[in-house]
This record gives sequence, structure tokens and C-alpha cells, in this order.
Amino acid sequence: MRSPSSLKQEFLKTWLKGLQVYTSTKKKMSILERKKAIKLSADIAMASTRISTSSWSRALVAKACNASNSILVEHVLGHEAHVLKKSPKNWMMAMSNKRIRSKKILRKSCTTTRKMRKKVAHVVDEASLIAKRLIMKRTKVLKSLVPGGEYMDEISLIKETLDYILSLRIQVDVMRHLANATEKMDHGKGYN
Amino acid sequence: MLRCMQTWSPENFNADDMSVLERQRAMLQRFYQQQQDMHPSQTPTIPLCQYQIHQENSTTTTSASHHQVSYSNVSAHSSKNQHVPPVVASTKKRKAEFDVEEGCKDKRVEGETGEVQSGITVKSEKENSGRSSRENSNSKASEGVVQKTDYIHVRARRGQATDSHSLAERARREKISKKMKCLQDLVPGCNKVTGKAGMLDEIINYVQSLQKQVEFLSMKLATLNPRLDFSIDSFSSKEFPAYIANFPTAATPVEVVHSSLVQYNQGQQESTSSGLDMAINPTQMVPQRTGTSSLSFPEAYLDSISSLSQVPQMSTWENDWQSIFNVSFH
Repeated sequence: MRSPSSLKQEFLKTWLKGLQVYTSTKKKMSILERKKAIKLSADIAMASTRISTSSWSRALVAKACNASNSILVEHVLGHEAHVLKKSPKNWMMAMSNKRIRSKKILRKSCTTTRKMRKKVAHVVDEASLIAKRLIMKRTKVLKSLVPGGEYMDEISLIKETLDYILSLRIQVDVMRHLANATEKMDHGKGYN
Repeated sequence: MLRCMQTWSPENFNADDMSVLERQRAMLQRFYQQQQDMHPSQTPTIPLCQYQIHQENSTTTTSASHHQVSYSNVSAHSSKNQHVPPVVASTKKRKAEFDVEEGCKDKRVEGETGEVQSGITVKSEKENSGRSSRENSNSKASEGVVQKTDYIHVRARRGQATDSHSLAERARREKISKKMKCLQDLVPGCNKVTGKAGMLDEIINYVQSLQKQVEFLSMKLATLNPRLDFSIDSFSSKEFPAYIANFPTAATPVEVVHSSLVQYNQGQQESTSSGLDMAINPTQMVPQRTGTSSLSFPEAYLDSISSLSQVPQMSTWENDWQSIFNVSFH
């Protein structure tokens, strides 16, 4: 992983590049539209900085492509978008295939373990079952939070969550600073 | 060889009525069998010898048939005798294959003894079925060698299961727990929580708060900039690197997360005051900064809505803010 400051710079650059799309093309926007645009461009910019290493970023970009924001995506990602434009579908397909296959395997293993468990049913205690169920529930929630998480297994989910948290932090940091700076700028202008 | 003698002794004990020659022959035969069991591929000539002996036995004397009967009896008896130890030996062998903690030499010795003992079990069974199972055990041993190189990093402690499934499962669990430890360092307030469920809870909360912060900040930027043209004309391009260099180091991912929010807040204030904002009169900054710095905590996120409305310059936005938050967050 690169140093956080260089990541921040890259994120800021790509973000502003993405925002230029809106400033150049759009007329008057409502506040909600603007908010949506800012958030989307920030998300895509964040994803573009990590697109080579993580799969959550690819999922995010794919989602943005599907939501008819391909102009923005293309603008932000540049040449990478052409590669990705074909790949999101393929990626999704591959992931879903993988998922189906792994589900089959899981079912098989579940049946075998159930067979085995019948013999030792009295050994398995209640507490561990409850704990397992709790963990399952939370894992499901986490999968819904991390983009593309529903296609991941547990190890890659945790890995991607790590990556995602790091980049979210960077995103929040840059956005906060930009907000502060612009706020103070406006404020300064107003008093001058 | 020693083993051969040992296994032969019950036969010796039972077959007292045999002549010395017969006894010698039987002994030789067993020895050859033993050797064949130990090195099935290396000695193709030994079975031939054995068959010769068999032929001699059947042709020379009538007592040879008696001897054979008694021999089979003995072998059945010995198989009964040794029925329990081989099972132990086989498990021991498996353990020896997977146990990386033990010394290499030790392991080899144990593996060899295991092999020899399993060979004995094979021998005490019928000849034709014995051959196939012997091959089976040999292939198993070679598999064990392969797996030894594969799972060299997995450790099976005493009493733990050593079949490949549970080993793989253990490796997977170790990987997950390693990653969870990383996450524990990353997510604030996670190192107090024990248990995986609690940790996942914290992680979920943290990710949610970060996502909400992004949402909130984008909203804030949208309200601050009606034309979405920030910083491109207001900052010169030269100021960017200097501006970014002043990012607070407290929020960098690699370093330890500050546990107390006050510290974090201070770092924030220092960085903002040392940045671009030095030109602006600090007395004017005070109400504004208290308003914005309270936004920086994930925990105080919802409270920030109420604190925002108290900031004087935001009063014109107040109604707008409330309605927007009702739309977007509730």
C-alpha cells in the first residue's frame, strides 16, 4: 500500500476531475442533485485509486455503470474504463457462477456434516450454535455494507472490509478538509 | 528382522510338534514375506523364492500340509493378537505425517515403525487381499508425504484432528483471525470487545458511520457550493500539495487510532489552523470551527445536526437543512 498522503492527492485529483463533468455540462441543479453528484464522484474517485488491488472498488464502479452514470465513470477512469466496461458484466457473471458452485459445494458439505452430526448431536452444545448464528447474522449485514460483498467468502470479505475502511477514511478526511477550506474561503470572502 | 522374530515366536510356541527343518523353513518363509512387505517394489526375486519353498513344502512331505494348516492357524491367531496395536499404529503414523512440531528424524522412525506394523496386519490377512491393501497403504504413505509439503505451516497440537479437512479448516480460521486482528487495530473501540460477534458489530458500526459521514460531507459540500466548482478556481494549483501535506496524521490508517476524541479534535484544529486558513482572522473562526469540528466524530454525527443549527452563519440554511435531513437520512 502506498503512503496515505499520496493516496489522498490522487483521490482529490480524480474527484475534482469527476466534478468537472458536472460543472461543464450541467445547468442549475437542486441541492439533492448536487449532493448525489458529489457523493457519486467521490465514490468513483475513491474506487479508481484502489481499482487494481481490491474487488470492492470494481463492484462499486460496476454498480455506477449500471446506474447509467457511465459518462462520469469514463471521465474519471479514462482508459481504464474501456477495459472495465466489458469486464463488469463478466466479473459479475464469474462471481455469480462461483457463488452458485460454492453454494453447491456448501450444500454437499452441509449434508455430510449433518449426517455426521446426527451421531454426535448431543455433543454440540447450545452456546456455540447461538454464537455461530450471531456471527452469521452480522456477516450478512457486513456483506450488505461492503460493495460487492454478497459475492465474497469470509476471508476475502474481511480483507476487502479492511481495504474499504482504509479508503473510506481517506475519503472522509479529504472531503472534510475540502469542506472546511471552502467554508472558510466563503466566510473570508463574505467578511472581506 | 527383529520384528520378524517377535512375530514368529507365537508360532514357535504353538507349533512344537514341527521338526527343526520345517521350523527353519517356516521361519525363512516368514522372513521373506516380511522383506517383501517392507520393500515390495525392490525385490522381485523374493516372491519367486517363496513360491519355490511353497512347492517344496507341498511336494516333499505329508507333514508339510499339516504344517501349512498349523501355519494358517497361527497366522490367524497372530492376527487376532495384533488386531488392536496396528490400529493405534496407523493413527500414530498419520499423526507423524502431519505433526510438524516433532523432529524430522523422530518422525521418520515413527513412520517406519508404523509402516512395519501395518505391514504385519496386512500379512496376517489372506494373501491376495493383503496385496491390494498393502498397495493402498503405500499410496497413502506417499500421499502423506505430498501433504506434508503442502501444509507445512499448519500445526496440529496434541489431541487435535489431523485429517486434511480439519487442517484446512484450521488454516482458514487462522487466516481469518489474523485479518480480524488487523481490523481490531483499525477500528476504534474494537480492542475492548472480545468475541467475534462483538467485533463484527463494531466493524459494522464503524463502516456505517464512515458511509454516513461521506453522505453528510457531500451534502455539506453541496450546500456550500451552489455551482459545484469548488477549489478549481478558488485554490490555485500550487496550493494543493501544501494543502494536502497538512492533513492530520492522526487520521492516517497506518498509525494508531486515537482513543480519545478530544485528542483527535485537537489534531484536527491544529491542522486546520496551520493550513490555508492562517490568513483568516482567528476570532471569526471560533464559532465556525466548533461547529465543524464536532462533525468530525462518527459518534457525534447525529448530534451535529442540532449543533449545526446553532452556528450563526448557517441560520439561513436551517430550514433547508432540517428538511434535507428528513429526506435523506430518515
